[in-house]
Amino acid sequence: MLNTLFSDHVKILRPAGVGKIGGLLIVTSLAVFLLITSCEDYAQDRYEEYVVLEAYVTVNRPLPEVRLSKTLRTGQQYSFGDAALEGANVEVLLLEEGGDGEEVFDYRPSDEKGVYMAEDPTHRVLPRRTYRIAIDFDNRPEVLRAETTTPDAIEIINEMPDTVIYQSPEQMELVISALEQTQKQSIFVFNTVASEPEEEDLTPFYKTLVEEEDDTEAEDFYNTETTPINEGNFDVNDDGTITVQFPWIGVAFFGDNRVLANSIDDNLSDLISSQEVQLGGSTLSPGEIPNLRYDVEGGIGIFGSFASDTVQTYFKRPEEK
Amino acid sequence: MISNEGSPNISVASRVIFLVMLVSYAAPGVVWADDIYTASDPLPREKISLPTERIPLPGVLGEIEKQSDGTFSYATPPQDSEAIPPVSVTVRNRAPSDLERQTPVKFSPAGRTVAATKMADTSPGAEATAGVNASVNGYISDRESGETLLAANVALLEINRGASTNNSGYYTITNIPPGTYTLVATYIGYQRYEQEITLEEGENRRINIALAPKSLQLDELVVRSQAEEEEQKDIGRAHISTQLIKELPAVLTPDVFRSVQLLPGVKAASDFSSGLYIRGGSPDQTLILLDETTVYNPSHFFGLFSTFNPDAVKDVQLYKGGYPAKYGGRIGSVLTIYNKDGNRNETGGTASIGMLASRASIEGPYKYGSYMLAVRRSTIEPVLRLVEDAPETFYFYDINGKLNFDISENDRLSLAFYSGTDVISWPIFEDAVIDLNYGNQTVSAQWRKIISDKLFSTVTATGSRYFNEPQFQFAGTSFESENNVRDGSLKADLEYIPNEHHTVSVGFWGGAMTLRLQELFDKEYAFDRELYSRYASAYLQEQWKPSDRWMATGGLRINAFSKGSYLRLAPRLSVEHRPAENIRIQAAYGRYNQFLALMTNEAFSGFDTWMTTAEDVPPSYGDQFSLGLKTIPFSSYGFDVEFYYRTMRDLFELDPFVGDNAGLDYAEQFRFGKGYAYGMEVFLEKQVGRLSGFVGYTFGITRRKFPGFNVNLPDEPRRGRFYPPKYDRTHDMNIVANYRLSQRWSVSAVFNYSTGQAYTDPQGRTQFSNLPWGSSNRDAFVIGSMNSSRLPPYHRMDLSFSRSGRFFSLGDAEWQFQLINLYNRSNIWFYNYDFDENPVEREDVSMLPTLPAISYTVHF
Repeated sequence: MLNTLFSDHVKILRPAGVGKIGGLLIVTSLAVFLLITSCEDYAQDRYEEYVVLEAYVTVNRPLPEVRLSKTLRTGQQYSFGDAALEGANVEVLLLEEGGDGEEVFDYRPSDEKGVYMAEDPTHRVLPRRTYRIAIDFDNRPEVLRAETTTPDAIEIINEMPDTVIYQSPEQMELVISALEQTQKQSIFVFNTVASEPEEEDLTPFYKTLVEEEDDTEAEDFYNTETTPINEGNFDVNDDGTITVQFPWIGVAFFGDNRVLANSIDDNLSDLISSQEVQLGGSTLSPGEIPNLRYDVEGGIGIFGSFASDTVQTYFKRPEEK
Repeated sequence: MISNEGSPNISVASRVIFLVMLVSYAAPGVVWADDIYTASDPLPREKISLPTERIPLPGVLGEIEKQSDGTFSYATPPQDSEAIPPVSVTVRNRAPSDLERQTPVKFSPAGRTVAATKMADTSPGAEATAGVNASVNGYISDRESGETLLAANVALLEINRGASTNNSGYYTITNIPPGTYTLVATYIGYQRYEQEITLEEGENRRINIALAPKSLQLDELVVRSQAEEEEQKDIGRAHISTQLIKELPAVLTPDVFRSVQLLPGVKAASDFSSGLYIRGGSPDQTLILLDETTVYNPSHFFGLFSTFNPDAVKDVQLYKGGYPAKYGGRIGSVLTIYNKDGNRNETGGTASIGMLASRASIEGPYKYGSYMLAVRRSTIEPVLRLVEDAPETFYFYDINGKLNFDISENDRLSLAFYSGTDVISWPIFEDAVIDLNYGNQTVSAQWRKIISDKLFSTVTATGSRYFNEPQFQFAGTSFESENNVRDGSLKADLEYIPNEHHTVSVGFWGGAMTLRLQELFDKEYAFDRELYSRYASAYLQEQWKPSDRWMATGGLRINAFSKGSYLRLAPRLSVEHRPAENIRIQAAYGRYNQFLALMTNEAFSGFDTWMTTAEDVPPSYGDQFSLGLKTIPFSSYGFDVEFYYRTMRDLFELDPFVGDNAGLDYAEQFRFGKGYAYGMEVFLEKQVGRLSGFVGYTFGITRRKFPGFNVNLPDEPRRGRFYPPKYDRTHDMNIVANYRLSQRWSVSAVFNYSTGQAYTDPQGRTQFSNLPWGSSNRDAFVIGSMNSSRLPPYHRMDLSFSRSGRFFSLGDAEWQFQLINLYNRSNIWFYNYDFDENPVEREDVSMLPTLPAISYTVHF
């Protein structure tokens, strides 16, 4: 080998067998390679239409309306009216601990296409109980089924100040009652609803958003919410209550606001979290779009539950006397 | 030239003296001759006629003497028993190769003389019959700077024995029969070194070799050693020269990773990412070592380019796959980067002004060795001030330094450090600001010792720190995070070369690492976790060369990781066969383990977070198979083909659907999956000459599968299907060319064409309009197969012109004018979907447009 160090030129290999071995190796490898590659078929699925269920069971409230629709193709104009489904048979069951139905609640179509209402408006949703929804159609083959276990009833037990100075060192506190767990840990969503959402009352951050972002208006922020927040973020007091420092970012408008603390079930958490992943911002690469996480058999959508409590306060401008 | 049937009309050089070292045929492996004659003139072209009948060797030599007017002198007369068949002999400043093929005598030019040597019997066990043999060893370095050269080749021509320098620039050839030899050393870009040496019985000769860089010559004589080319073509291994890194057109500043991305088998995720996606693996599957020290986040400027300053870098080697037992800890690849030691002969430096960053370096000798210091800092701030909504503060810097102590002839000590940081402060709105501070620091101390002619050792202590500390302040609410990796280790490697058939390597690497992740929401701790782990690994590797045609390297690596108490064995094996001089067939298999995973986003590397295995989070592992064919079809060309197949199992990565990890068990944050990749790489290169460059083509497939991801709605909500990650590109081709227009001007061009990246084309949509909170409806896409569509093909051409000259009388200087994306191709990065429009509208998000760049560099 090393005698070629003498050479001004490295010759093309001539010995007969060598070319054959090299050529044979390449040809064989390529053949095997092409054979494997030809099995690598990864094509797009054909578009499939799914039934979409939407219902939110609220603790201590009447049974919710159930909205049924179908998915539309991406390029189509979307309106719920166009997608709404008629001809559904909907029933909600309150389950015993063993899983058998304790009580059945029938639903009927409402005046709005695709929206179904409980026939019994008197039933108040019980905390820490499992509800099941079952749906079939007179005019479609799909059969849908989903379950939710309602969280414990939630209560904000501390006194709310009538007025809070925005971004003052005295941050607003919410003390949430001790909750009996129905899942691994409680998951909260906090939202703030402005009573009179006028643009001149926007807090500085949201005001800039409205001014600088296209297609953004003040009313987009009249009801702001946090992402789902695990109980693990908060210190649990000795008595089991949880003290939450209400974050200023939740305040979009000065003035009267309702502040809601919501304890949500896993189904809702899955839906909201995964919807935010689909919009981007996770560890997924841009353009890598996953489906949402649905806890519904036979279709997609949400049959979730939550418990909430509301307090009211007035957020005052720092310079306001 | 004449043949044995040729005419007696023979032109004979008038003054030719041959040195003939004639070896006794009765004692294979021993050189007996010792007479040396010096020629006063270069060896001329010879035409020599030999008798047509088969004659003994003394007769042949006598005929040459007669026709050439030369004289042979023998220590021992040649034997009559060695008959030479009819043969054509041509002597054109080189060996009479035809004669060589007919006899066991090897003819070698050595300066103005020619040596003739009986070929040693190199078969296993032959040395047992020999006397006490000699050895030669030492460092190979650049003659001008004194920098050691890694993977340089050295050979003793007469006995067909060679070696290449290790990562310390050290070589050794053992078990050499006493005698006189021609020692040759070669390295790409350097003039061939040749020296005649005479070794006594049992002698251990230290020969440190200084190679002279080739000067720029338009009609450069291309003399290319095949051995040199071959040594750099181990299976799966690639080498990038720092000169190439500096010459290539690069986005804003020369970059090591951007250059590595041009190699076949290596892909870039986008114009904005310098991450290395090698053979279907994600960036965290590549172990990145700077002076033997792990670097955890080697990126600047949001990931746009890597932290490695080309002024400071001496050598870059990439093991794309099937890497040897010496390395471990990643299931994909290894990238080793060595910083310069510093000029050992004279003090010099470089200053470079560029649009994004400017650089300065200084290096030189001192009493005990050498030093090097290189700094780089961004200089783009004035430009950013002109841009609306640009960050208020943005800068990055890095510093590389190295200090070498030559303790003795056999002991060298070096201290190296690196520190780099990116700082950004960006008020994006009123009452909203993003602050980010991230970077790396490394330090290493290495002791290299030549214990004996057969034993070389390195002991290295390393320290590495990576940190990122993003802070967001939105409307009086803060989101803060602090992520720290601290890693301290000690590694030791021993290389034992008992003879030309065996090289045994053994080593140990142990250390401790702490990964800390803290997250604060509104000044309250939301997450605070510290992961501490000790790790240790050891390897044993044997390279066995039973003959010139076969070589096998087997090894076993054992890895232990205390977090989760894991112990893993990783066997490695590679075999090489050379059916002919310029063809190598290689095959390799290896198992690889990985105890770390990186939580990252392709779009931005500043938040990168490392996580470790733990209880219920087993380490990833994978098998790699590769097959390669390496050839040298023409002088100075290389043509390689490699096939690979690899598996990836127990991949663990942050579950993208876990929005909030507070209160979760450690293992609950992850999703666990698997994957595979296979492909073919073709590489044609021409490394020297007026026109140099390469063409690389890759056919590659890579797939991943995670439970609950890429599911077939609504029937299999948790199963998952294999899908291609975004960076999967079936076809990828790079053409890199450098043409020296004149002594002053040169032009470089890079062209890339590749299949469009995978993306998910939404099929359907729906809307959740009744959520109990929020001001607007929530839109959602319905997806079919994940990433089953392809963006338009990517292609881009970059051009760079360089003009060299002088900066007054202070030193050499170079202007570099560059055009990135010459024809302004609008390559799509991804599609954005606007739900504010009904029907939803798709918008293109493009990558880099045409960008001009200019830089000026002075070498003093």
